[in-house]
Amino acid sequence: MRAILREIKKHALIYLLFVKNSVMAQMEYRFNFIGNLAMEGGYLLVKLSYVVVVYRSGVTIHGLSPDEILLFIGTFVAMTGIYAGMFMINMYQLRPKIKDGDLDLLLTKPVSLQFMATLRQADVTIFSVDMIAGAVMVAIAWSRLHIPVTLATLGGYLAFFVVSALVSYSLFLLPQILSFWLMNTSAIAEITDSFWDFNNMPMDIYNRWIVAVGVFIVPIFVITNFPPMVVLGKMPPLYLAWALALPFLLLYLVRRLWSKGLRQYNSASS
Amino acid sequence: MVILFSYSGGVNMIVSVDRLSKSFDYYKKELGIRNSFKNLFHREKLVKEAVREISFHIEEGEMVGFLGPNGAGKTTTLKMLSGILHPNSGQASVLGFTPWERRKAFKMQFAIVMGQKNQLWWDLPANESLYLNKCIYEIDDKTYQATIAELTELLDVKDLLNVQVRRLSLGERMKMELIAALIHKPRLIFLDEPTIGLDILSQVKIREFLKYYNQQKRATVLLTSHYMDDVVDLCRRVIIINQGRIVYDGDLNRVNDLFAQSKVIKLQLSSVVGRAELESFGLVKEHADFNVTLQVPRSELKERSKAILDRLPVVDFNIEDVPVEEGIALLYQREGAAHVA
Repeated sequence: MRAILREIKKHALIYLLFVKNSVMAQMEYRFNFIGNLAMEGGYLLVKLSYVVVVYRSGVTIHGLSPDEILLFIGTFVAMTGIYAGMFMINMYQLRPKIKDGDLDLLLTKPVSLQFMATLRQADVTIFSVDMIAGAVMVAIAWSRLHIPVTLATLGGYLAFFVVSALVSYSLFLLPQILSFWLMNTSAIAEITDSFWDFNNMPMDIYNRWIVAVGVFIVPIFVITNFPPMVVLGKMPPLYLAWALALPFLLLYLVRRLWSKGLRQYNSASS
Repeated sequence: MVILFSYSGGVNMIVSVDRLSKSFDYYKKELGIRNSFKNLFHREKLVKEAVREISFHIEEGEMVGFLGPNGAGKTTTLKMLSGILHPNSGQASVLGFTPWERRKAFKMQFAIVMGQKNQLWWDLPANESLYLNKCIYEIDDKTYQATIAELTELLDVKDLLNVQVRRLSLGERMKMELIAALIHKPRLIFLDEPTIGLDILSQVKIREFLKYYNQQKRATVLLTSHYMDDVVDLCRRVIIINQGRIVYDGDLNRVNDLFAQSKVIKLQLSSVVGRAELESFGLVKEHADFNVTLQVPRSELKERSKAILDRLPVVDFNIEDVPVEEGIALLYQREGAAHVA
């Protein structure tokens, strides 16, 4: 047990270094870095304007008030920060890494290869902007809904947010792992990437069959629907159980597929 | 034809390879888009046997040259021994581990440097990547500082630690790659073309460093290189691989003894002598005005030398061994011919 904890601590420290190195690498190109900040600042304003749109339109969806819709949208924006800023860049680079044999040196390091290959890069500007925008939206909605800030509500929301992050990491990594067999999986990856936008509205807008598929078969709806549903007390027990089991199930699937795929890794001639 | 000098029965065997084989699937596509369409529906699978049942052993502290032409199977072998690739068959024990099981304890004890691949963060100074490796290899601060100080001193790159990697020259970058690979003081080092593309001075510096490191740390080294100077300078023993098979394992000097029973005579003449006349003394390897290189059978060296000195206007006269590259090239040809037959 102590050895496992030591490994987790080591990987956490290395992850912090990955993030730090990614930020420093971006900052080496001053003009580009400042330009990116300005651009993402613009996006931040656009995303915050969603708040105005939601309230001006006064739209309700299947009984969800504008405040509740804002809670969903805010969660979606924050989760997009996690996915686009922390995961996506690595997943896009996995394909060429496998094809060009660039996993070679990573394979020789005494650290998990999956960790090194799928979490090595981060785009902190995208991450920060989306997280700020998402947090502001969630905070406004939270306040207007008069949800008490207690360990149960805030802790529940944050716990399900972590579950959502794990689900998005696993779900979008799975198709990329097929590159070990197929070399180029850009077509599959583009289809699965487009699924991300199914999350930008509450799943209640879809019919029950689509919801069932999106929760249990391709669990894309779990990512941004479950954290607000917990806080709003709209989480059925079945969903609750599913949410607790799903990250473990998906991480196990990813791990199995990754290990199988790695046996197919043929590097590349040098 | 396999000439195998046994190196088993050593004190401490670091690498033991037993009938290791690796093949890759591939397919061919004929020229043109029509064949691309055809390939969408049917591809004939072909198999390339990159490494075929090779066996050898390396003792602790040895520095072994691993030679062979392009596509001979050198890098594939190194990749199997470092756990990057799974073999199709055969066994290997490296530092007491099966490499492709990729145990942490194994990874902590070896390093691989590939001249054409890098581990340093391109947009950051090398010291950031070195610090990352410190954490990856769980090195304490004091040891890390001492190791960095020693290695940068030896490779003369102390002042470059804070310079962005992409701004370094190829030679400087390779030195940093070496430091990144050696920071955890590996007992075994695989070097795959570490001097490729470097200028002569950088090559010499890296060779000196590797020689020193091997002697001081008793690190075992398996080196592949296209530059014979690397191998001649660093390795007493060579393993030669061709078409996936080991064709020679033994003393480097014996490559010449076995396959090039000739000597080279280099002459400087005071006047130009025709090629036809020179050919009566031996095989003319080079003929440029006053400078001539002849190859003569070792058994007739004395008589030929006497005749040359008696009958040609010799200013300077040198007898040398046939360059090792030529000995190996001859060996490749013979092995190739044997396979064709």
